[in-house]
Amino acid sequence: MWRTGKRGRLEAMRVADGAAQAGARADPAEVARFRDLTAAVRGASDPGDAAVPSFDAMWGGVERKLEAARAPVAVPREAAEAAPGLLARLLGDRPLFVLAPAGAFLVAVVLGLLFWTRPPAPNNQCFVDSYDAGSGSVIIDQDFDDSDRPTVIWFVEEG
Amino acid sequence: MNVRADPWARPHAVRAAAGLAVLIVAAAALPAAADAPPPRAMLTVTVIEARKGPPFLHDALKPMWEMLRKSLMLRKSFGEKFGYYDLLSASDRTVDVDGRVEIALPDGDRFAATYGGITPEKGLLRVSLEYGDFRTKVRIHDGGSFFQAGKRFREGTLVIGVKAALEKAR
Repeated sequence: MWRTGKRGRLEAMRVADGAAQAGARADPAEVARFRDLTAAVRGASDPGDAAVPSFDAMWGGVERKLEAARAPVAVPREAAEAAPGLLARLLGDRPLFVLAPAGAFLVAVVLGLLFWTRPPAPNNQCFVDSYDAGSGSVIIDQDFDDSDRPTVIWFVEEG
Repeated sequence: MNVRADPWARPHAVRAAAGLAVLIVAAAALPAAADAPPPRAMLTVTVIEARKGPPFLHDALKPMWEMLRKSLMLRKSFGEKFGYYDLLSASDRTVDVDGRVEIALPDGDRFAATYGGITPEKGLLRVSLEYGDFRTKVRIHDGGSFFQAGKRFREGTLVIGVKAALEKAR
């Protein structure tokens, strides 16, 4: 009498793998199915099988790319030796303490150049105290709200 | 007991002495200031022909373009808007009080600007203009400019720019 159920399948699996003796209480048909399945799985994982793609070529390409990425960049020796050390010494442990004042100084210099090198706009406010014309018309065109704008004293002759 | 007299212990006496010292210094300085000659001034007179026409600005007028634009272009003056500005002549001179700069206008008239010194209150420069039978007196800030315009010339008008600036201390 063959074992059935879960125990029977486990027994058949062990027999198919050679872990148990054939003829134990395993169903030979079940054992045969497990053997077929094992053969199919092994066959599928065989690299010689054309149906299964080979990953060797892909891994080879990946390894070549990794090696290329790991290769050191050609940097002049003096620069490689001096630059990182100098910058690190300048910046110290808290680079913001150096970079923030330096940035503020740079902004101040630019603003200073923009504003202080430009001469101040002259005050063109003009106060007309008197005018005298034998003929014609005199018109004072001025705007005291705009000190840049020069006054125009129009004298339009008759005729 | 011998107690030394401390002059700072008498505030009224110290204040009086300080006040007297200030008065003496001021009295000494006043005649010197009164004797100082009034500052000289540089008067610059620029004669410009302005008229309608294709936009044109003489190279020498480029520094005063912003003033021309504000005074004559942005405003519609007597139905005209000028776009053509040509330099006809210019003259500048550093003068003492009552010194004048004269320039011949293209129509044969003469234009004169006279420096009348500075006002005591605000230090404004007094300038008077005259040409033909037209006279005017103005006060302007140091380095300031104004225009006199209206005299007909060709198809436009003559615009005369006057700038007055105190001579810088040597």
